[in-house]
Amino acid sequence: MRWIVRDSESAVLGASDFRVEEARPRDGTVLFVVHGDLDLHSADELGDLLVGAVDRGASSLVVDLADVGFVDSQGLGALLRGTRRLGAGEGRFRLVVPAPEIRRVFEITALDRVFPLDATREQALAGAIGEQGEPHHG
Amino acid sequence: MLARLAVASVARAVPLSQEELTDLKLAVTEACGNAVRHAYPSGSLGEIELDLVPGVDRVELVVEDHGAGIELPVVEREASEVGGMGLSIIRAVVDELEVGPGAEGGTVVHMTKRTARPGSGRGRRGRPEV
Repeated sequence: MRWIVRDSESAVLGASDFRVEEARPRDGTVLFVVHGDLDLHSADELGDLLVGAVDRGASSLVVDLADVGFVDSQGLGALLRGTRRLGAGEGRFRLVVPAPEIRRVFEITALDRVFPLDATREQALAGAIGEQGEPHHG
Repeated sequence: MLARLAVASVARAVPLSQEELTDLKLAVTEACGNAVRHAYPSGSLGEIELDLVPGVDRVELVVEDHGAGIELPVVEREASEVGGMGLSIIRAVVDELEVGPGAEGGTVVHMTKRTARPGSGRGRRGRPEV
């Protein structure tokens, strides 16, 4: 089976319904709920949002990837941008990754050692550390 | 996205496990992403040819561009950097990988993924250094 893509970017064009919802469940903590594919065409958007939140004072980020169908290296790079901007504080950056096929991308790149991966949003928020340096409790 | 849709169409012809399907989508996306970033930089566009050849126990994937070409030492160096995780991912999810110049310039990425019926117990997981 052969496909010829005339417009090279179309080969990796992300789903048109990519969008990110943002919420502040607690002072200092920003929750991003990502929908669609996280790839070459959407990674910069998410990375900019993560970096922007930190620059505006967020001390803890939770990124929910439960509704993400695909993550490639560019998507991983966007998440790394966010965690690097945030600094090395343990528990300050958490990912919700319930799907095994998405979790596998983190495993094969060994980034599951870098990002705390939670199965549910509740677990991620509970594990995140807020502005006061105290763990969440629900 | 088109590349992943192409892989999905192969999955309708060949029995693939969910993990194998995910691996193929990852490999093709990363190969196409490399072509976009390296073969046609600075927003220029060009053709990418994608061949998916399902076999009895394998799927071959060939991604060819007609762009600037990738210097292999550069590719190897980038493999340890954030922006160069693509080839590391490909190496982890396929069984054979060849990257070379195309017949008329550009770059050809030839990948082979051996497949097995779901539940056969065969699997391959790699953890490349990043």
